[in-house]
Amino acid sequence: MISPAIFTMNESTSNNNHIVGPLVITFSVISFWSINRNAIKANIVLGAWLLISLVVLNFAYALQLLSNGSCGVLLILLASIKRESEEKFGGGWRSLFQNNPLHLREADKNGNYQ
Amino acid sequence: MIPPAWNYNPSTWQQRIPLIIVGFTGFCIAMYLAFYQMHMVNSVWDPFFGDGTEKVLTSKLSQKFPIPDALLGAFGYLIDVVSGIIGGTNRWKTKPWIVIIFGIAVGPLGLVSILLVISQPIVVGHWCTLCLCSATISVIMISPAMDEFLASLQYLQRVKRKQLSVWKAFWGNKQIEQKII
Repeated sequence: MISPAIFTMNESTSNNNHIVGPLVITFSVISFWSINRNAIKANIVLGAWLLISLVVLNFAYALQLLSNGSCGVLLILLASIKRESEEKFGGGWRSLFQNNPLHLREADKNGNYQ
Repeated sequence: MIPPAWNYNPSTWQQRIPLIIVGFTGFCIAMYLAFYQMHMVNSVWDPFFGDGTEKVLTSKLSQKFPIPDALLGAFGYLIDVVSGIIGGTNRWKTKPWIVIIFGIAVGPLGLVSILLVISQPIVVGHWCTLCLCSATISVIMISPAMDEFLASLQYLQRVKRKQLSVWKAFWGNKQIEQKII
């Protein structure tokens, strides 16, 4: 997000970083909370894009390539770390698309019809 | 009341008050920026980007809307605060409608904020400190609001599986509340 201000970048590479930067921060902040911890996986895609962009976009200097490349690798590595949570969310977001989700089984066990 | 297969109640005041405070802070920031756009104040404070905030607030992009865009943001935060206040500590079950409104207000508002942050350097060519603060607030609010949203959706899913009226449950129905955990 701030790299275009540090390194002199052309329009396409500058725009690329101005778009990817806020998205990375957004998905990182959203995934702080356990309920949306899987949102961090979006950063794997963004990290991969940063690596692809080294080839696709026209970077003028090696330092820019190094900066974007190392950010891409770090994003993929850090976002790939599996995180466990002690909090329970009734099966989470995927429960909404399951036939017999955890919260329904738990409710039936406790006598859903009171 | 804790939803089934959860280990906390997402509708308690301990969960909601921080969101209401943060949302109210966002409302104050957005109103301050709206006052500048409506010419009610002559200048706007920006500690980092000089006149960047003024350039962003008077940009062509900000004038695309029929009313000041900061006022739209303030309205969004107001919905967040009001929908955060309404209802008791079991509202994920007793008032799913307000929880759904709260979730919809918080989620898309955060995403719009990010689009506006991206547009600042790309379309306008300047940064705005208070706009960045507002966007940060919007993003911070997303996840804490989503747990209650999920609990209400799961409740409505249980209602549907028991072949009861989801519509009635959505607006709060005592009979359904007693039947479904």
